[in-house]
Amino acid sequence: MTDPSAHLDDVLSAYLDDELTPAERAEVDQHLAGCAECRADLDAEAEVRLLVRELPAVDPPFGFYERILRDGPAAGQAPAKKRRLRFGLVNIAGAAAAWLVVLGVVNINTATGSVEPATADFVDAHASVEPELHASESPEQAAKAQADYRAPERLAGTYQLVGYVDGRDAPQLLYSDGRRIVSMFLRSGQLNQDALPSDAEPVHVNGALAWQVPTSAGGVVFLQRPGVVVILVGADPDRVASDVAGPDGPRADEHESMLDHLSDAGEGLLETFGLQG
Amino acid sequence: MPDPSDTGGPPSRVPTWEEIARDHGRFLYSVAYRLTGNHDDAQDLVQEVLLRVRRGLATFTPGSLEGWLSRITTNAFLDEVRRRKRRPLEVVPELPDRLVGVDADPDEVLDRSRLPADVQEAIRSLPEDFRAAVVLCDVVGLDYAEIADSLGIPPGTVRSRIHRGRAQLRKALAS
Repeated sequence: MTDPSAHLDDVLSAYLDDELTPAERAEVDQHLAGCAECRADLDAEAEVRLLVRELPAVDPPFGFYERILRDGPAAGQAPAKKRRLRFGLVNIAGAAAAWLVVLGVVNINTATGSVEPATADFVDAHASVEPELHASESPEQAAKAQADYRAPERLAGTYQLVGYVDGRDAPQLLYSDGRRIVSMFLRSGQLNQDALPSDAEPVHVNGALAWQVPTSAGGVVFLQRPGVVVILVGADPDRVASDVAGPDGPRADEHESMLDHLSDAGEGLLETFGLQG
Repeated sequence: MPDPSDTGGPPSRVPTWEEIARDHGRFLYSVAYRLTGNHDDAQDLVQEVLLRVRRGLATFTPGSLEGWLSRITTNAFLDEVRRRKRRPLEVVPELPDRLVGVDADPDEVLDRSRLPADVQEAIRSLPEDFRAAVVLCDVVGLDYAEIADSLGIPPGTVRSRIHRGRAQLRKALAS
């Protein structure tokens, strides 16, 4: 900064990052006052700096750390091809499927349509509601979802129903653990497995086949149940895993009202959906 | 004498790899993902970091735990980059189409509605040395002296890499 006529270039970065002495700062301020080009540069750099600083934290794929803690870290190993899904999502998915059948939303004998694994659509739909829900939880929406759809108020012990979005053929139900949102989509029919992306990973959930598709927004899970596909987007693996792994983790008997419905519908359903205590 | 209860200060001992996986896993994964730009490489990088901690290869340095962890992660990342350059591997871009062929005027205004995926892809387009400096500065929040220490380069070089890195990001993200 010895030449007052020269442009500031990387001094601007140090200025933005508060890495200059007060004297250097004063010199920069003086230069900026008389140099529109450097002012524009400063604004542009400040903007891109903010974009990077505002990037959200990135969650690892489901079960990543649990597997490492179990097996130890291994250098250069590709992720295991088959994993057990986290218990939190197992419970959510199982409960949701049972709930739909009980309510008669899905007739397991006639639901033969094809469900396309449109991962991006589900991720987008999830992303579009998340900021709003974080801004304000929606008790009215949750009450309406319960009234209109008789949706379970709580799933997997941790996730509270906070709202829903009307979808084409079934609602997108929104659950929150107070910090993160899980979107649950339900589509009647059979998952079109041929259309799954090449990086979809098969996982087994209580004997049922599920597919996990990694995306930049985290994992998306497609779970095939009799007559219905449950799609889950956006859980927080660390938190859910630790929540459900402990002795106070969720148990099937927490879903009391749902189990009552199930009993009405026939004991056989309890076994079908693995919801017995 | 620093107050040992001060959470901003250095930890009293080197944490075990299990503690890092359990308590700092999300932070570690985020840094790894921002550096590598894809989940497969991020997972490998996280495992390499945990291995280095387990083997005691990661000497503890004064400063915050996150700073220490970021330093190990960045060095493991740059080691891997150098290794791959010796034995080139095919790199398959995760989001191939969004930013390919961008030839924007750097003075053009940024589109403020840029998605995180676009910003991430722009970061991934940076040369690794610039990328490491930008990630340590703007994702981790280290100051220039800490970055210089982490990367083993002079502070002036840190400043220049951050500036040039951000300038390239502007270009990649200009609409």
